[in-house]
Amino acid sequence: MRLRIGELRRPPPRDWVVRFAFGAGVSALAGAVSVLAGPRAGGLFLAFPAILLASVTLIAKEEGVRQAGQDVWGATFGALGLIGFAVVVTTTVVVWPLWLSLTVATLAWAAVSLTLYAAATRLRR
Amino acid sequence: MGEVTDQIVEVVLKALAGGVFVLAFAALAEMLTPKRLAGVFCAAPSVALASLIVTAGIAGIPDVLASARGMWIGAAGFVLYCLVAAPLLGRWGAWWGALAALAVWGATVAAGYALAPAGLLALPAAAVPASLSRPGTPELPPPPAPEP
Repeated sequence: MRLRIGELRRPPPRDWVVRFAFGAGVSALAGAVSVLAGPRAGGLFLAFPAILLASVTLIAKEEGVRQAGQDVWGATFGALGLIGFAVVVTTTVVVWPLWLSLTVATLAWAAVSLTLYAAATRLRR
Repeated sequence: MGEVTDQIVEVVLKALAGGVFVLAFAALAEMLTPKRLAGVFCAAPSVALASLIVTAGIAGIPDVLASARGMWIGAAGFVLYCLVAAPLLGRWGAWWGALAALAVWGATVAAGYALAPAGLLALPAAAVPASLSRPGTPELPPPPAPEP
């Protein structure tokens, strides 16, 4: 795995605007539900698949349904990592400082999702 | 009136923070090679991080805990969404396949929300420091003294 900063110039500015709008929209939805029905109900929308939905429809249009299916397959492992994220926050947020709880939860998401993805990819070959 | 304004401010702050965090994870996914990892980043905790940070600042840690418990159910629904969406995309196309899978997510979280106990993975009350309780939360009366 490598990071290439130059890749940031590849997508057109419109793509970044669409991504920001989707993130803001889903977060506003989660916030509104939280205000109207309580934080537990709002929490359901912290794992709402809207970003994936947008990505899948865009990729299907530009690169075909098969490539979109590949993204959904990868997102399965990201979603399993989200369960790990929520478990870590639930068990640590009242005993650790918030920043530490969220940092460890994010690392747990990355560890769970990338490890399972790598294992499943190896098994698939 | 003041309470409604506070709630609108909370939703707007969450929206702005959510947009910024989604952009940050999208940038990370864009820079990362191999590109096939992009799918994993479609399920990154970007909205969750943004929302939980704003919730902690405005409502306090008990609301963060309640949100994280709700997120368990949403994430389980997300896994089911992916498992159902993969075959549906091939059969019904991107739009209808993804929308049908979204209905599965909705049904899963509705059932999970109704059936899962609210205290899922709850720590014992004694583990929550008193300083973290929400302002305005009524104090519980002290337990009755044991009879001699």
